[in-house]
Amino acid sequence: MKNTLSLNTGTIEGKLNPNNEFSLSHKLYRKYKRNQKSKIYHLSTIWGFTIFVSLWSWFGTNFNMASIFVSLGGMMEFIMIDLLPPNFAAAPRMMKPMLDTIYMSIVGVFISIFLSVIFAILASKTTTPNPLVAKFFKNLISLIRSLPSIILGIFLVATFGLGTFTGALALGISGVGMLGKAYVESLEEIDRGQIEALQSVGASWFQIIGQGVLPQFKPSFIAWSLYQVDLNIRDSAILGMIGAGGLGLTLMGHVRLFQYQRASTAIILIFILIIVVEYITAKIRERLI
Amino acid sequence: MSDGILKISKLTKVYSDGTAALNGVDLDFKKGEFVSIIGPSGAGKSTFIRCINRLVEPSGGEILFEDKDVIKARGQELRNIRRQIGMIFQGHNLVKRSETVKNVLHGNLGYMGSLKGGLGLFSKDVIENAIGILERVGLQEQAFKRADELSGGQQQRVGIARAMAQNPSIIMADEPIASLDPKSSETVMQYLKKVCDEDGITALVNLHQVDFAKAFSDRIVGVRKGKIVFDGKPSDLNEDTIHYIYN
Repeated sequence: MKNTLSLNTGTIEGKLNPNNEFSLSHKLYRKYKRNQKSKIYHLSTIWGFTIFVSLWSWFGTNFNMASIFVSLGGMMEFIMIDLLPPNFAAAPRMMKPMLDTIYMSIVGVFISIFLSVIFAILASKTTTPNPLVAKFFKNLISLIRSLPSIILGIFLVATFGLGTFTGALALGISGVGMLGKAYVESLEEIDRGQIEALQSVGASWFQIIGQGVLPQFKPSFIAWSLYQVDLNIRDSAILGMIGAGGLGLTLMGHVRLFQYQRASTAIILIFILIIVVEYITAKIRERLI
Repeated sequence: MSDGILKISKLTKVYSDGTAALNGVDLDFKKGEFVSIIGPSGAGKSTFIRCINRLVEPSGGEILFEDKDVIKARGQELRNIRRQIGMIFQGHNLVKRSETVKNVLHGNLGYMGSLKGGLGLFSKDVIENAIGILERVGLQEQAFKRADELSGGQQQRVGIARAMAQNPSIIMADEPIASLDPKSSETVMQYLKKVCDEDGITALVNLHQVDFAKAFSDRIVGVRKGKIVFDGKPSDLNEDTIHYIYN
């Protein structure tokens, strides 16, 4: 359809002006049409592939619309009868685990920040003392990122035993995956001219980092570090389930004992904690940047 | 060689993409002279200036700064040479989020220990000196503003102040007024000329405004396709030569 259309316009123009065929504007017009055609070709390939993969996965997971509606009833029953109403009498005894979750997240963030700053400065193109060092630390960060915190947690629980220390360590190390990458990207976006200027005054590597890089890095450093606090609160609930302490551990304990009304209290507390922490970090971010 | 300060011979630079930016440049500079380097964009002016303090690595030739071989210098040795050569950039290149006075203090980094400098622990007389320099470029009232709160012309004067804080023998300026309006350009050039004259500093200024070059310099060097095609007094620069440089 498209093809015949472009051919038609071509002949009409050709009739109006016989020499048109060789003119620059006609060549450019043909190039424009060719580009347009290859764009459509690309788009249809991408869409075709997407649809194919989606359909394949759909059948692969035995995805069944009907079962969603059937099971919905069972889910409502579980929520209305088992989970509700939450047993708030259990709440006071959950205050300590809640504090543990907070401690764990904050200690975890400090570990992540400490490691990530060092790794990122060595890994980013703008600040690394050596391209090979950069490659090594970039890969190290990717490696950590590819390791889910829950798997790291299982290893650490086996090594250090149950408890919040293990949780903090797991959060701290796995946080380097996200935070390190974010830092590297921010460091690579900074203005090279400012660094060049400090090189020109004869500043050493450490002086350039301290006086030229860190002032530029500060806003994104604060933003990403606070975001990591948010992520840690969420993650620590999951880590608790494998024995790393905090609210997650309490939640899992009640679920195992079929004390669903106590479990729902823990869920509500986790929910409130996440919202409160996000609110606080957002406020701090506003203040500092 | 009594008052020579910078001697450049057979300087070449070929970039990794094959572009030859400098084709054997020979130039001598004397102490205290104000030299403008003129030429069209892409002539190699910027590369030339950046080779002198090795922000760009030269491909060949020799640079002698106060009889020290710049091209062979490494590490601390190179930093000791760089701290004596102030540089002013087209885009100012101030650390924008830092205070004005901090930016001037940066000029002193080359004279400080790595740790002290990195942490920004400047001594009392260094700070007083920096404030003194800000007064000389008429910016003492902006000392505690963040650098990015200043106007373009003011930022470039901070650039001059930072270079001055290096206590340099040479100040190089790479298109210092290319992004400024005519009024600020005038002011910036006047301040640059003033401080260089007062302290006997050699100035190497890349310009593409010929009228500014004629008005401010003792000597003009014309660059075309990586070669020196004119070297002489501003009064010797006639229309034909200008036409040849720019065409």
